[in-house]
Formats: sequence, C-alpha cells, structure tokens
Amino acid sequence: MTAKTRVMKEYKEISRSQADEAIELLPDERNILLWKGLIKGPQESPYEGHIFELGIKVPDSYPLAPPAVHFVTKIFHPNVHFKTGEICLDILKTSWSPAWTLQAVCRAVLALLSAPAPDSPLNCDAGNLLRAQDMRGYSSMARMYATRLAAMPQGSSIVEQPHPSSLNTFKEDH
Amino acid sequence: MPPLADDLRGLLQLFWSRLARLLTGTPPQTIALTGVLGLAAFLYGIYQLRQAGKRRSGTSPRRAAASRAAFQQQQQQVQSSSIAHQQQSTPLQPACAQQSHILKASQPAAAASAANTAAGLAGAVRAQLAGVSIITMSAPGVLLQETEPHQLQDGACMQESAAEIVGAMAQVANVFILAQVEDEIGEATVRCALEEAELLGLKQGQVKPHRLLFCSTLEGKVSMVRQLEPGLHVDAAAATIESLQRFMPQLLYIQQAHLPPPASGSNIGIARSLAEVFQA
Repeated sequence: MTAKTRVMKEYKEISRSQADEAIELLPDERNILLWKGLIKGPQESPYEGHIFELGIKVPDSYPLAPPAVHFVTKIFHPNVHFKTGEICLDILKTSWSPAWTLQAVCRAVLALLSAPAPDSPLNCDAGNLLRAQDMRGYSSMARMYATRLAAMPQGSSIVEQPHPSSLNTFKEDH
Repeated sequence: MPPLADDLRGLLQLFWSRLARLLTGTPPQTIALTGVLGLAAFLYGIYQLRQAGKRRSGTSPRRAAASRAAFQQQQQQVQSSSIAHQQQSTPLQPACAQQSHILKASQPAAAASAANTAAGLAGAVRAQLAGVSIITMSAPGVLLQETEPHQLQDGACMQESAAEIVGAMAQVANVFILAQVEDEIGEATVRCALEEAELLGLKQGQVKPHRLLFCSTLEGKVSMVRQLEPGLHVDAAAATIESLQRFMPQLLYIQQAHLPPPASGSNIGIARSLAEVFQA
C-alpha cells in the first residue's frame, strides 16, 4: 500500500466521523501528503482555550515511516522546540508503528500537552521550570505565549504580533 | 440711478439676506433642497466659497510668514531639546559594546534633573533604553516595597514613582513583570497593586495584563527570564542577578539598604531604586 492510498483511506475515515472534537485534520488542496492539524488545548492545561496548528508531512514510505509533525503555532512546552516547533515524541521517532494514524498522532500530541516530560526537553527553560516544580511559573509562561501567539476559538482578537526586532519599528499593537 | 433699479436692488438684497438667514439658521436635514430652493442654495454655496477664497488669498502672505516664524521657533526648540538629550545620554554611553549603559546610569544625570516632567522622564527612559526591545523585571523590591513572597500575602505597596517609570518603559519596549508568590492570594495582591497604580492595561504606556507572570521559585524565575531573552532585566534578588549574569546583556540590581551587593560584573548596574536610575 502506497502512502497516498493509505492517507486517502485515513481521509475517508476522518471525514466519515470527525469523532474527536479537539482535533481537526485538513489535507492540503493540492497535495494529499501535506496536512494541517488544528488541536484544541486540553482542559486543565495552561493551553486550554487556545488552538494550536500542527504541520504534518507524510513521507512516501508512510505508514512504514512516521509522518513529520511540527508545531506551526509557537508553544511554550518542554518537549517542543520554541523556535522551530520540533516535537520530541517517541511515537514520531523510535516507537512508531504502522498501526498509528494521523488522527492518533494528533491525539498523542494532545496527550503530550497535558503531560509534559521535562526529562528530555527541547525547551530547556520550560523543562527547568518543571524540574524546579514551579508549576505556577510554567503555567504562567505557557498561558502568556498562548495568549500572544495561539488562536482563540470563535475568532477572538487577542492574537498578538511577535516581538518587534528593533526599537525603531516598535509600535504597541494594542 | 433710476428709482426702479434701486427698488429692485433693495428687494433682491432683502430676498438674499432672508435666504441666507434661512439657510444658515436651519439644520441642513430639515429643508429639502430641491427645485428653485435647491438652485438658490447652490448659488449661495458658490458665493460663500468664492468669498472665502478671496479672504484666504488676501491674508495668505501674512499667514505664511507667521507659520514660518512658528516653525523656526519649533525647530530651535527641537534642537535645544535634542542637545539636552545628548547631554543626558553622553555620560551613559557604554565604554565598550559589551558594557552596560544602565550601569553608568546610577551616576546622576545632570540634565534630567532640570526637566523632571513627564516628558523629561519619557525622554530619559528612552535615551537609556536605546536598543532594548524587551525588558523583564521582578516586581518585589523593584516595583513593590515588599521583597519576600510571604510579605505579599498581607498586601503590596508600590514603590514611589515606579509606576511612572515603568509606564515610560512600556512606551519604548515590551515590558514583562515577574513576581514570585506563594499562592493565589499572593498573585491577587500583586495584580491588585499594579492595577491600582494603573500600570496594567491595553493602553499606550501600560503593561499588557497577560505580561504579568508569576512563579513560585527563584530558579523558576531565572528560567522564565532566560526564555524571554530580554535586553535588560531588573531584579532585587541578588541570587537571581548572579544566576542570570552569564546570560543577560544587561542587568540592573535594585539593592536593598541592608543587603550586600551581588557579584559585580560589567553587565550589572546597581541602584537603590528605579527612580535613582531613570529620574535622577
């Protein structure tokens, strides 16, 4: 089974039953191997109330090889690189199994948002906050960045531009 | 002149003045300007415009001269104020690129004391923060009189003139305020104190509410500052200053009277208060 047929099959399944409310998977109009995933910050996590975008690239060897997934929306999380969006998740690397689907991958990313693993951090500062057991600081930072950078459901307009790089061009955006 | 023409002219003038009064006296929505009335209104409008045009062209040379004089005066003011700014910022110039210019600020700036107005403060802050786009500061001991988390359980008092200075900072850079607290009560206390000082809000010169961050450990605060990568961090905790010294371009230590200074370094400035640095 080629990657395309497998992905098409997954696509049909997804459109038949968008079972998971917290996940929305949209294929690229021109390329079925490129997907956009929208995940809703889990309840009781500092990401609650915000939507994060994932970029998903399905390799030709899928499902034998895992899809390449990264955060398009910047997120403060110990297992996500703040600048590149790279995700450190075992099933996307060593523990991948062809039985997994794109939907399952998104579900695993959601689980990672609820239960961060500070021992193998891609974002050291987030990891250090958790290792220092400073949940207050971790949540505070994660919420602040989510408010700045992630979308809110129902198109609320609290989305803020990233930091301006130079003082001269600096303008308060609110 | 024949009396008939005189009469006619008198009548016409009467009619004209009536019409003018009618048109100027009533709000435009109340009369429908159609037909003859519409034509009259159109003519009246043209007449008014031409009159206005004549008046303007008649006075224009005088006006131009006046505005030129005003402009020159303004220019002089701008020049003199920029000279004042230069004087102000000269003692603050870093000796080398790596060295903190805030550090030098603890020497009182002579020019700033002359104009201690809001504009003077904004200028002084702007001059000293040139090139800094992100500022982080710890609230306890810097903005608040309380320094320890447990003191924030009972209440928080703003330091004198801290709100003004941070407001001026928020106009030129992104300001993040951090506070180490024990629990939700501590958070609420700090938030209330800053809100009461009108420091939090979405207006120009205010710190956006979501940029007020809380933590429960000193190590946590260090990680947060490192993540934010500010151009300047202000703190009243010597331990935080020491932990950040290797990573931050500029640090400002607000030293409490009874405490010894932290390890010194070229990127650490020391002052008793924000006011001492930015208001002098």
